[in-house]
Amino acid sequence: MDIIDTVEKYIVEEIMVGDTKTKLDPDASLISSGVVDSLALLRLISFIEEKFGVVIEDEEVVPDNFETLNVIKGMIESKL
Amino acid sequence: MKTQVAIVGGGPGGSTAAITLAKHGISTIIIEKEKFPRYHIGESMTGEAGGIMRQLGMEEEMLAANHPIKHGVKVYGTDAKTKWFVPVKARDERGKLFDQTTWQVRRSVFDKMMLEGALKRGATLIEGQATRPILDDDGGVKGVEVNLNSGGKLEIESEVLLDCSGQATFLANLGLTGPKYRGHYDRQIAIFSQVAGAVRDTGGTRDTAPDNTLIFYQKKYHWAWFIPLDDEVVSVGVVIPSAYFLDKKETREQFLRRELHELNPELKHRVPDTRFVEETRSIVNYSFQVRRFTGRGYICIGDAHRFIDPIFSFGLYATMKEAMFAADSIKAYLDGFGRDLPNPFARHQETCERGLDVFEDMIDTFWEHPLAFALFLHQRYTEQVIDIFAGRVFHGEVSQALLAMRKLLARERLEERWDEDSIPVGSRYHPERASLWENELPAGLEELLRLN
Repeated sequence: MDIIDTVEKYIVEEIMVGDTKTKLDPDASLISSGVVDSLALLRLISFIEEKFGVVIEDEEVVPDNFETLNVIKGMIESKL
Repeated sequence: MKTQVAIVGGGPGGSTAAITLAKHGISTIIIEKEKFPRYHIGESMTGEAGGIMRQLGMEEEMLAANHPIKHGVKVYGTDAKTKWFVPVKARDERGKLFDQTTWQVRRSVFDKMMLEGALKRGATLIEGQATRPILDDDGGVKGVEVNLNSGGKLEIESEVLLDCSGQATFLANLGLTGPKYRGHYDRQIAIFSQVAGAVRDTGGTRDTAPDNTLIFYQKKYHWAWFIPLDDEVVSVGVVIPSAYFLDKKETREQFLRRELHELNPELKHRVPDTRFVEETRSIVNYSFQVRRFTGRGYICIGDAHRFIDPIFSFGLYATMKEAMFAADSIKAYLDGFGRDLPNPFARHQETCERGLDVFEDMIDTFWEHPLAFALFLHQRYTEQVIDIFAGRVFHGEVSQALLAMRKLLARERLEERWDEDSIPVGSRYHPERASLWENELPAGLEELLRLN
């Protein structure tokens, strides 16, 4: 399962509630830009944990760790 | 004049103590300098407050006073992009959570009701101001001297003195207690007043009930409250770093009116008319902790030894809860318990500090780790966080939520020591970060407040 595609799909469909064909730049800001607000980020964290079977520790729950698709990918990969 | 318990201060701490002591058949004298009703800030109760009013036998008076009903707290994030709601819930006998309500209180009315409740139950009121404690040969407290409002002095002999003097910290200022540390994170000022014509929610669900507390967050240590006091009037206040206020060079009123429209778009929408129906007031440097606030012959209650942060409205509840605990401890003491201990009230002090530490750790988690805090509340530890919001923190148990918060804060709470050396590193009151409290305000601020 491609990490970037999977996370991107969730963000586009469930958070942005946008056209499924929308593509996100893997280095574009998700958090500081406001695309993903704090409550949506909580949902994204749940999704990541469930979908990839990883645990995101309390100390890792900071906006910086979710700033871009590439950053998210790096974090997930380090746990697999 | 002699009594069993002399109580400095007729606010909710003092009257709660007097009412509880009356139940134990213990005589009290309340010393209060102001004529009630009088204005006071600290207007929102936590969920457990209802239980307190019932235990005090004041529930009927409470219901008759028609205070606005609080179902919970709604928090609007920066620019009102997000909002979340914390419902007030209680636990039943089986430990299951159920929906509960509590009150918002106009303190002039509430405090008068409570003081009258205490007097009705046998407390004596002395209208005057406590000047100094009277000490016995061993340095224990055996009474208090009072300047009477009508002129002249009075000496009151007591077995126990309760310092319920609030932010005035009577005994701490006179050096009877341990050191008073100022909360050193960002020296803040709270500026507040009341408005009419505010826009309230009108929905039929708990989170859209009209009289909930609303909190508007702009950024760290910069926020506002909105607390309905009756059908017409809402208490509003803004809390900011003092330096920010000084920088604006505005009067308190100008500052508050501008902030009400600039701090958060949702707040602006809710307060279309910023004409104030009450004086604009301020409190500066209100966050502090006094270590060792009990001893032979005395106990400090509530703000008289510790106030953390107004953000989650713990102060009024904490004061009343501490007052009830103190009354029970005094009953045991007067029955002979702990008479020969160096501090007969050490256990009481421990109970209070443990509970307040929980409030402090949650408040600090909210400020320092807002996203993780939101995760704990909404997903990982919802019930336990709701318990803390309600005020269920004095039972001495450490929940998973609390452990997680302390881990995030890298904060260890030592179990057995309650002196100034046991403040955890990183706490805003730790001697490395905190300064000893001074009566002086930063340059410029005192003058600005005096002139405006």
